[in-house]
Amino acid sequence: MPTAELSIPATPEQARTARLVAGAAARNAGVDPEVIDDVRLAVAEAVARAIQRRPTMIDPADGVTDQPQIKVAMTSDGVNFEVAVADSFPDAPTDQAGEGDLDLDDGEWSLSLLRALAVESRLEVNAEGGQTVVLSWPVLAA
Amino acid sequence: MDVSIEHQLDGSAVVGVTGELDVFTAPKLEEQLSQLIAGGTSGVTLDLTSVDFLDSTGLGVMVKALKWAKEAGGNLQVVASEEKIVKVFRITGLDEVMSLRPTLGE
Repeated sequence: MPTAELSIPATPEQARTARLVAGAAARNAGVDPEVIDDVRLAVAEAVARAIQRRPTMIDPADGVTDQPQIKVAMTSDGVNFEVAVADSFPDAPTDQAGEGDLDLDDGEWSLSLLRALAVESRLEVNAEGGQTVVLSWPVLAA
Repeated sequence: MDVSIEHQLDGSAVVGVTGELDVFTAPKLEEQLSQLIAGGTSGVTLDLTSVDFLDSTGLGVMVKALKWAKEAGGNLQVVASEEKIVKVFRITGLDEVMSLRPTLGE
């Protein structure tokens, strides 16, 4: 049963909306209040990851006005609260080489955070050819 | 997010960040730190005690700034005390890389 569903433009300013809605939905679903900050951060990481996977901005001169979207679906079955963050961006060769001696791999930090903050996390290839990050937390007994 | 820069008598600077440091605001902090360090201030203390949200893009900016500061012969120290902020450093292992302390004072 969907608790809430968001479709947001894949732009940095929308990350805040996604994490605030996810935090509120988690609270309403009965997730332990102690881990609501973890829900917010994990969703922020998943959304930021999708934004960074977005293909290079389309030249406005091409007349393309549609903003690529990210879908954030929050569901609760009374046992678990689940958030699925889906993009429709195909894998592209990434150009995330570091700038020198320090490890600048934000992508790896993001995955570490996703794995550590959610009780369960998985990455799926979705029907649109993009990726879906699925995160879940248990719901406290009523 | 707001950024304040306080220059110290010893030539270093304390950069205070207030608000949320995320994928949207991190580039603004990066620009400020880049200008500060390029302008000759290589001893930087980044005060995150008034930051109430930090994600990995914020960490990315700090690691870049640490690299710039070290290349300029200085260092970047981070002040953070709230568990939800310190936790982000700990999970990613960056608490081992960056100089992290709980208060601004010595």
